[in-house]
Amino acid sequence: MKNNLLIISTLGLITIGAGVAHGQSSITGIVTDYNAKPLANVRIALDGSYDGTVSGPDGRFSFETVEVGPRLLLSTADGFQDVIQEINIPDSTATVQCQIVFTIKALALGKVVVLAKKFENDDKNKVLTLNSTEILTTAMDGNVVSALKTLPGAQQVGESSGLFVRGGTGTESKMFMDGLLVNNFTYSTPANQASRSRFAPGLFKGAYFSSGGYSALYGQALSSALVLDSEDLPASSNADFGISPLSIEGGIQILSKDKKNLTGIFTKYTDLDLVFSLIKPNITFTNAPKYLDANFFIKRKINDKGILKLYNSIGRSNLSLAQPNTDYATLLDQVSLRNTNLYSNLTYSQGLSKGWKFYLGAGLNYNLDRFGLALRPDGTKHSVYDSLSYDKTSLVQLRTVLSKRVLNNGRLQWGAEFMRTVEGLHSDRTSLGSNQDSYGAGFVELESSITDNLSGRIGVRVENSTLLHQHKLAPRSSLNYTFSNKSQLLASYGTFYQKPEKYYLLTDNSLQFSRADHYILTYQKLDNYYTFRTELYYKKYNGLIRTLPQLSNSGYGYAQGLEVFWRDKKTLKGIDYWVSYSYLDTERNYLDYPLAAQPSFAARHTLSVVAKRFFPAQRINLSASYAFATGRPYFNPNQSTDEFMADRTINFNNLGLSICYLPKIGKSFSVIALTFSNILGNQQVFGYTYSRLDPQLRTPITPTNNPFVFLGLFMNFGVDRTNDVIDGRL
Amino acid sequence: MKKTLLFLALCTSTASYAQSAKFQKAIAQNLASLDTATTESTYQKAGAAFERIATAEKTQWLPYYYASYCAIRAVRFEQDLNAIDTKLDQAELLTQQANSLSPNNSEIYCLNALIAFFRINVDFMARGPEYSAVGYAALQRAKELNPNNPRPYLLIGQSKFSTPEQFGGDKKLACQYFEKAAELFSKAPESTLEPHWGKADALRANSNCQAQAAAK
Repeated sequence: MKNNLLIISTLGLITIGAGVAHGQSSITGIVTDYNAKPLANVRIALDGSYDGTVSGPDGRFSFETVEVGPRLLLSTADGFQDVIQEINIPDSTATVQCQIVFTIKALALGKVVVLAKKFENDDKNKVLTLNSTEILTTAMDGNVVSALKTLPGAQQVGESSGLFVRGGTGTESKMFMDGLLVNNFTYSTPANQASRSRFAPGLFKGAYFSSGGYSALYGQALSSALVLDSEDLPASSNADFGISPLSIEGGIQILSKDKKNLTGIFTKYTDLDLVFSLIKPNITFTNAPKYLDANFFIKRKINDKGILKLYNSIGRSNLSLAQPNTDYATLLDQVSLRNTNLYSNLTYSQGLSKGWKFYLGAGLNYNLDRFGLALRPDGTKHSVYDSLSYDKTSLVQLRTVLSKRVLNNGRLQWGAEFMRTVEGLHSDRTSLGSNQDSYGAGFVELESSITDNLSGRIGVRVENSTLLHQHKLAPRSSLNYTFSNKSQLLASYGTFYQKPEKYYLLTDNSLQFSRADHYILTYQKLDNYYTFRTELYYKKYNGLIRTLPQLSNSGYGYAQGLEVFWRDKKTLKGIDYWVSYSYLDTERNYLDYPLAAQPSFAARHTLSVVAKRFFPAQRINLSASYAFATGRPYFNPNQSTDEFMADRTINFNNLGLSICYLPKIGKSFSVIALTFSNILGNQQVFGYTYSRLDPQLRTPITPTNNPFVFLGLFMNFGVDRTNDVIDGRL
Repeated sequence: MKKTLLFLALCTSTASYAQSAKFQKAIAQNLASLDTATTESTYQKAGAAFERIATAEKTQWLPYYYASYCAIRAVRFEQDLNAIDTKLDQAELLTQQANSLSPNNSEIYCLNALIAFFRINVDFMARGPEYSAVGYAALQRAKELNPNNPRPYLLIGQSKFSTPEQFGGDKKLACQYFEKAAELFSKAPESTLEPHWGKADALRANSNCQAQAAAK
């Protein structure tokens, strides 16, 4: 070893000596691709020496060297695999002619993939994503779910809070925050009303909305998974304050001096009293909705690649309303709803050496809805019927995931999760009791490139529920082909299982998992200016809940359709717009359906257009969104069974407009937001409720407020000026 | 063990002695073309030359540093948003190599910051918060590692100057940074092989600030 090293350094001396003593030979030539087209800006180097050059616009190159003998010529061009060729330099005055031809296109630049920032072969690359700024400026109401409704696959369902995706119900979409399930993602509502998400869009770095075929890492959602990643540590401490006629909010987050620990709180109080006194809602609220939320969070950076996050939220809400009873015209329904919700999640993820990474998570969820119903004859003060029911759910979950980089930029992930659920439904009149379930799942998934153009993912999830006495194997897989223009064709398949809803399980605990199979073909081309994506899918449902003739898993259904998404940030200068179109053909026979029919939450055609423009000089952000959906089916008891669900509501139209002004207020970052929803005042009907006693009588289901205006001021102060103060002294 | 260390030290010293003349000459030559570069292709050419030196030497951080610096400078000419990230990825790879050869180097942290700031240009609204935090953290580290390095001050100043106020920009604060940078530049030794870029920018920015302050 000693000798070798010595020889090397002596060689170095000799080479320099040679350089001084002798003349130089030159190496010239031309670089082309396989079509003989000259390539410019190709880097050419004589291996082991400083000598080399860059090819000119005509592909020609020439450089001088003192090296002699057989040498390796190394050429590097963007978009191609490196070319290494042997050349021989006979003596120190020779001119060596050579031709360099690049033949193999490099799709994923091997070197670049190592950085693994944007090229990960996971769901985040395959689904449409919105970052938190996009969510904020898209959702006119600051509701994460509203922003996602502008993406293809989602239905414009206004009478319920959930995400209705590809012929699936709202409960078939599950939300995950940092890997952990979030029950009650939206506020509790009485029947036929929608509410917003409990979580502010600013909490998240990004939302990954998978409308089907998602990874084996997630389960118990027949239709879709919404994966939300919470923000990491901010750059500095800061405080928030916001006020609008609806709500008042404030929070502070303090970053430690070493920038490794963050502690924060955030509180928001919403009261719709004032707004409803100004803009009359379509419903008579005896007590306008009030929400109080408090959040407490800690984030801690551990080592270089580790982060610990603790997030706690506690929320209370209450509302009461009075509406005419659909069955008895002289009676008023007095509905009241009080909710208590607790959500806690603790996660720790740590990147280790050699491509290892581990994740640990624990979550706690508690939700209690107190529904009160009183029937009061119109004009009197005393009710003739009272009931109070308690709907209680608690969930404890644990999750762990290990991942390791393997093979060709591939990744192997495996892990397990455990959920303990206690669900109960009690009322002062009838009680369904409560259920306990221990749900466990194990999953493993491998992603890897197969050839330069082909990559794949294969995974499986094993799920077991003690309540259902069942275990299931859910395979997931996808294959991705990348064309030379970087567009991709993707085929995915997956089996998904989901436990029946609480109400049915409490009635009959011999029920089993419902199942959906997704077959999806996607073509997409993404870059920083344009996104084009189209999907063709077929989804098959089995084991859906039927309530007729008796409660069973005999329901079934299908959904198939075509979706197109186009986003363009370039063509219209300064304007970012996107268009989503979804065609949906779905039928299902479930619940009390007498036959397979298009369900009430499914519209055949849905279109959504969003356009935004920021005017920097005026500090104004304008954004407009338009949503259209064809009429949805509703049940009309006056029709015969053959005509079940044959009626359609009127088409849905909604034009929204939002103006955000960023004023200069001290050192703060402030936004004054003015938003209008349904600015044209289009009539919106989501369905009808029929009187059971007199089917001639019906009440339309409409939005609570239509149109609606919102004005608010939101400020963010960078509290911690110590850094600038220190820098000020310099 | 001691012997081995001694031997290794001897080896490296002979090696660097052996290479120093050629190495320094090559760096100096290419630095001359880098210091006068004004077009994309001159930056690319100089960058390729530094990269060749880096690959041949394998143990010197400086050519990797300059190769990365040239790549970053060349990105300024790139109009196609789709190409920026790939080019910055390549620059980042070079800084990573420089960093592995010379850890905790204030100058390399400056390049990391430049890369982060350039990434913001791809999508200002979406990337601003994330990458400006990354950039400032790198510059903070650069200041700690070498308080006499004027470049972190220059870069903070430039960023604070060009960022709109609502997004954390502050022209007054920027001027203080320019002043400090100019002061440090005046103390710095004249043109060596070590990083020295930014002096003209700092002096110009500082005098603009002074002129504006005087006008008020």
